[in-house]
Amino acid sequence: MAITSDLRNVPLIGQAIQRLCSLAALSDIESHQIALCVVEAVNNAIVHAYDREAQHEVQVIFAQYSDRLIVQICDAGHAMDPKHLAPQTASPLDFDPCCLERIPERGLGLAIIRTTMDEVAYTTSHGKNILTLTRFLKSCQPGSARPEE
Amino acid sequence: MQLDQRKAGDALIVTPLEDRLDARVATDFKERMIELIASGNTIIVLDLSKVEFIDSSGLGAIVSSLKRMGGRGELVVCGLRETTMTLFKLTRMDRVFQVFDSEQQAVSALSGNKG
Repeated sequence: MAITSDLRNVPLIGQAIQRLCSLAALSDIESHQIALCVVEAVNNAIVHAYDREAQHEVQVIFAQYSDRLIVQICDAGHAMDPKHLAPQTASPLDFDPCCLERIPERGLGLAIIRTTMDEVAYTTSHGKNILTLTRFLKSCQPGSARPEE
Repeated sequence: MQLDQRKAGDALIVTPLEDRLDARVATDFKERMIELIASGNTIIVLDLSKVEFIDSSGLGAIVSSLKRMGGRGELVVCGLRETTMTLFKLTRMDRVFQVFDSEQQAVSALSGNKG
């Protein structure tokens, strides 16, 4: 799937991913959470990689394997600093709820992705940035790769 | 974005009428909430019963509204669906906001706090 880099197009991606996840026998909540992660990643591509400029392309590749789902979000904008995904990077979700000024307003998208997905990887090569999100399936079903783009 | 607003006692009930509170509308939503707070509303019930999807930008706008109140009022949430409640729990915002099942319960609890 591909959209132009306009936030108005993001719901289309979210709804498509949610539907694909539901076909992979994930619960409604699990499907919603994975769709949310993809929405967050596409939002980041539009807002950060492309500085909210329209007319760029964001690609989303969904693949279902017997034991996992893999979603790749691809852009050709500014690369993300990999330290944002480093395991030692403090999560904004580790905050004191009694301390009003420390409740996070930003940076929640990546935290949601890191908390929800089983594996998160980010690569940049030849001007293309690829965020790869992996979710392992609890009940493995026979089948081969069925990538959809 | 479209917001319904009405008074219930001292509380202002704010109901977003769109099914998504996301990056597309978060800035507009935050500005509308800040206007309501700046105009003297110190007890706000945010009714999210019509909202099916909230992303981190939408959630950030809700947090920003809470911060704008500066601890001098109440901003509580009601009507969360299972999916949106999951987001509040995932981000631990269920520890920040009082969450009520319904508007009536929220208004009743806030009236109790006052008395």
